[in-house]
Amino acid sequence: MSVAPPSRPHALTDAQFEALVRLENQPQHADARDVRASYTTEHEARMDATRWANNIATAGYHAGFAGAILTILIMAAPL
Amino acid sequence: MDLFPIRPGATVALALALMAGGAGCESPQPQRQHPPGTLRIPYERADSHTGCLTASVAMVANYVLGEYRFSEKRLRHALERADLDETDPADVKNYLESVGLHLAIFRGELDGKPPLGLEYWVLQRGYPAICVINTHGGDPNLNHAVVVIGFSRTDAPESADTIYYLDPATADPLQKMPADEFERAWARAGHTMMVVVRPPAGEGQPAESQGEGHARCFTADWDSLCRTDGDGTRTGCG
Repeated sequence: MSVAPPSRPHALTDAQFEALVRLENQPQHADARDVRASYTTEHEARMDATRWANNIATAGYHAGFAGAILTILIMAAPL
Repeated sequence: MDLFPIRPGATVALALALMAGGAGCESPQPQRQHPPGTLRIPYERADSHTGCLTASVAMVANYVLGEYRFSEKRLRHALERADLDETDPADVKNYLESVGLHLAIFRGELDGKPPLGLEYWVLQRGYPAICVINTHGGDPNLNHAVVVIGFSRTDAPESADTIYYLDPATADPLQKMPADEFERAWARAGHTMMVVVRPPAGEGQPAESQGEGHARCFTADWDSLCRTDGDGTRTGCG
């Protein structure tokens, strides 16, 4: 079951907006501004690099595997 | 006679399948189509390693404005020119103020109670909400911004069973996550929630006309908030 939201955002009145600003400035909410968000930090960027390296190595492995079989068949072929 | 027929196509297909299976296995479940009842937000992809917040803000700001004014790239460059940090909500907030928008940043809750409830903002007010989540563990360096666009419920006691969101950093933009799992990921980032709103245009009136009955209803909601101040204890907020 899904609940449908309004088709467009409902605008705030002056009172609501002022209340929202006051809320943000309360100590328990103000420090939320210090929470940083980033798609990939250095750590995650390194994970991406590792994932790509693994993918390339896997592709190379499979290509090499097929190539090895082909080489064996060629070598074993009756002349 | 060919005793050992080789099918290179099968090998390549196997390799591609293994590669595809190995990539992104930590990701939440992708959702191919917008389920009914979710906000139709124009998607903006994060082009840089640190662009999830700017992409999320661009998506939400464009939706609130009803026009395509911000792209992730343009917003990021504007922040750079202003010597502001694209990963810092306070800096993004300051920039949006300069272009006439307000980025409300607070610690939200999963329920539908105003004014902190995620469901309240999305389902009752129609605002997509930016939530900072962390699906990797407690390391704050792995916080990630996503845009919540809707919920689906069952008859279970929980208020929301599945949360739908747009992830600016994945191949499948539309993602879904069980509410309890989302709650855990959100809690790791301190339940940080952001909503882009237009400051009201006039005295006592909403920036856009929404009908008298609706305005009266929400004024009543927020009057209770107006009475709450001081130590920050909320009373009568639903």
